[in-house]
Amino acid sequence: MHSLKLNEEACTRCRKCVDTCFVNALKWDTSIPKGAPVLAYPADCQICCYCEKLCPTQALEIIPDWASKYIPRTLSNAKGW
Amino acid sequence: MAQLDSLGKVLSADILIVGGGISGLTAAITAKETDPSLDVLLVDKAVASKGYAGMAGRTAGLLSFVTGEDDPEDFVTYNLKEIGCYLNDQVLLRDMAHCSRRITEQLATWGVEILHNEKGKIDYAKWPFPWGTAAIDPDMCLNMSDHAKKLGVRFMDHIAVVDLLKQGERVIGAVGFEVQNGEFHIFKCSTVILANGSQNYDITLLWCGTGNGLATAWRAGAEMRNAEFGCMCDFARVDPKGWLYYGVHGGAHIAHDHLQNAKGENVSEKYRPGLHSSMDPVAANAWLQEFKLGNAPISVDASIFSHPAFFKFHPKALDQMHREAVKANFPMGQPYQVVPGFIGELGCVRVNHQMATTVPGLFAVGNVAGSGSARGGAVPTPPAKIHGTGILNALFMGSKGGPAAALHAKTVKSFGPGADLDPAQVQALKTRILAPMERQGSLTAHELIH
Repeated sequence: MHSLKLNEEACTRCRKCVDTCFVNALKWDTSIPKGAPVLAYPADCQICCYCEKLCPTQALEIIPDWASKYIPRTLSNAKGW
Repeated sequence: MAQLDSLGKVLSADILIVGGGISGLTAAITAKETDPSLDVLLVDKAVASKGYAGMAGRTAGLLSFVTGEDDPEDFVTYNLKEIGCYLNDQVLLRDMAHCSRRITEQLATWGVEILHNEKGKIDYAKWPFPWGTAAIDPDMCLNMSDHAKKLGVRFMDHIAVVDLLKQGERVIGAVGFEVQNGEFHIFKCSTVILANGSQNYDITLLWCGTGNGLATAWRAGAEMRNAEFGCMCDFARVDPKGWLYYGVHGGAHIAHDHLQNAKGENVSEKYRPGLHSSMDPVAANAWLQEFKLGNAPISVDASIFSHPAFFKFHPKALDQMHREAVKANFPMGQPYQVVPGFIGELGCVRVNHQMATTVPGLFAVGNVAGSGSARGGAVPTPPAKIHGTGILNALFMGSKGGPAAALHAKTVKSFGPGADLDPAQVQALKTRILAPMERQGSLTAHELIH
């Protein structure tokens, strides 16, 4: 699953990242004192990275999960692979 | 009206533009320039008002155009012979060749940064083809949306328009919903420009339409053209673990001229000698033939890193690419293994030279009508074949469709206040569009989302 890496100190809590997500994959986590963005629905994340681009302090980064996209076993077992 | 209000939020405009990528923004700007008195509303499912929507946030920072040292006729001939299999609409193609420089120069007046040389002319990389490639700010849509706002274009973010409202054959409005809270929206407008060729990052992280705009046009009864030219070949990078990296993370877009097999032989040269403009199914066939001969794996040789395009990217684009490369464990300077992938890029809404569809009041610009304009010939929606022409295509189509739509809206406006929307038609569409939310099963849509 894709994940979100947040630099807690750099985050200004402006919530631009949550507002910008057009698939609603990001949510605002109120369980911690100042609040923080969380990737609540990683399967919905399109890795468009608009949240990264709109972050005024570059406090967050989307880490794609490349293992979720793999080459079919039949092909990888073929001769010469 | 009271009845309509109970069905959703009712908004009105003279021109509704669906999609805030480059073509939608261009259409908005040129429509407003044509007639500033028209009320132009641009909606997008993402955040067009902040410059990030559609493919636009992923531009590579390259804009191909016919430079001063190129003959536009050579551009037409090359496209006809080498790309479109003689099936191009030559009038439109020639029009694009002749006005591409003007469009490129005009961008600066819209606040878009294009790198200039010390003589104050647009700087470009010259390819061995009849065009050049200028370095353009990859965040160009930010500047374009700011410029559109200054002209008075209204923006609404997070709105997905699903269907059109019609009276007889004519478009009189549209319906859709807010993607984050589901609120139903009803638009009253005489003219709609579809600029939502759409984007689905999840398939290849680049260049795949989800078909939203096509479906809207299709259900409204618009004619389609060239739907058979909807797929193209590209390569995806595969790492030693078998993981696939597509699109911007794959770094395989200009791989086609740099393929080598396990024996170190140059596969590109063997199957398609000479330099090619861009991606081509012949390259996929070359991969397959070599695979059958037992010469796999097929890699991209390190000479790709000396490709001329690398030296002319906008610095911001290079920075962005570097970020993406790090994110995707890209083996900089090293050969890397690739597998062919096919991309569905359907743009088959039929449009005329003014980007008008066969439905009165409905226009289509950008990828949604790229193949349907027949400009490219027997190829998928541009930018399938030439790097950098994606932006040019969007700019060209937008600048044709915007003024034409403005004239249409102005004419309709001169006849009076326009047709009233039929609440029964809106109700029927609302029921159909929101049906998945009402469906009962082991898990409802609401439970899944919240």
